Amino acid sequence: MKWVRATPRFLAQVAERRPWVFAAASIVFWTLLSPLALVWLVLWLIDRYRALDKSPEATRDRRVTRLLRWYPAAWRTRYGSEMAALLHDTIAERGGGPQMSLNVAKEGLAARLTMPARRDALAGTCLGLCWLPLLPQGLVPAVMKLTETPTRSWFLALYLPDPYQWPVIAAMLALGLAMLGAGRRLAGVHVIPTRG
Amino acid sequence: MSTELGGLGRFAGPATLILSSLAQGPKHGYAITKDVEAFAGVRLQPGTLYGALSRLEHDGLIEGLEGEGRRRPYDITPRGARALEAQLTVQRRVSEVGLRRLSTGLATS
Repeated sequence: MKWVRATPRFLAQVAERRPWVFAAASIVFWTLLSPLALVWLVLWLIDRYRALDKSPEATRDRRVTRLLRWYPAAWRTRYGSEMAALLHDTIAERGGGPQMSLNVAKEGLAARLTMPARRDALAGTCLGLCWLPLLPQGLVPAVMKLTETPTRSWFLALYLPDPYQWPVIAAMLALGLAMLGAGRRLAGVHVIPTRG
Repeated sequence: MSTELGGLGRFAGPATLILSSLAQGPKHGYAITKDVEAFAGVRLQPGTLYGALSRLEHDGLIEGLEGEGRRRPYDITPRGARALEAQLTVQRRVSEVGLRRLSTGLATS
C-alpha cells in the first residue's frame, strides 16, 4: 500500500507525532470532502497496525505507556518510572486484566483532579457557581411552586410540564449541593510531592 | 477514635497495609503488593498502591530511598511507625470488642 504512505510530508509527520489527533481530524474533515478520504483512512490504520511490533514486550510497553497517560505530567515525572516498572511486573506475572486498567484510569483521573492548579480552578468553579443551581434554580422555584406564585421569570423548572417540575428542582438542588461538596473537598485535598 | 491514618480517607485501608508491610523493612512497589497479598490476602492494584504511596509520602509517613534501576524502595518514617501503631491499636480494640460481642451474641441466641 505504497500510495497510502505517499501522503504529503507534513501530514505524515503529524500522523507520526500525534496519530490520534490526525485520525480524529481526518474523520471530521476528510469525510466531509469525499468518502475516498475515509477509505484512505482505513487503509492507513491497517498499514499502521501491520507496522506495529507485536512482540509481547513491545505490546506490554505500549500498554504501560497508554496506562500512564491517565496521570498528569507532574505526577509521571515523580512516580512514572517506578510505576511503569510495577505495571510491567504486574502484567508479566498476572496479565493485568481490565480491572487493573480501570483502577489505573480511576486513580489517574483522581490525580489529575487533585493537581494544584486544576484542583484550585475546579474548586473555585464549583464554589463560585454552586449557588446557581442551589438557589435560583432550586430553592427559589421550590418556594414559588409551594406558594403557587404565577411568575415563572427565568426559573427553568417552572417552564416545564408539571410532572417534570419537582424532579428538575430536586436535580438542581442535588447538583448545587454536589458542587458545594466537591468544591469544599477539592479545596482541602493534598498536593503531589515534588521532590525526588 | 480518629487516627492520623484515618485522615487519609479512602486510602486509610491501603495505607495501613502498606505501612504494615514497610514495618518489616524497605520495599519497592511490587514487593509491597506481593507482601500484602501474602499476609493479608489483599491484592493492591497499581493505581491504588501509588495513590496511597503518594499520600503517605506527602504526609511524611514514608520516604522514598535511592533504588536500583527504576524500582524505588520506600521506608517507613518514625512518624509513620507511630501512626501505624495508633491505627493498629484502634483496630485491635475494635476487633476485640467485635469478637467478644459476637461470641456473647452467639452464646445467647
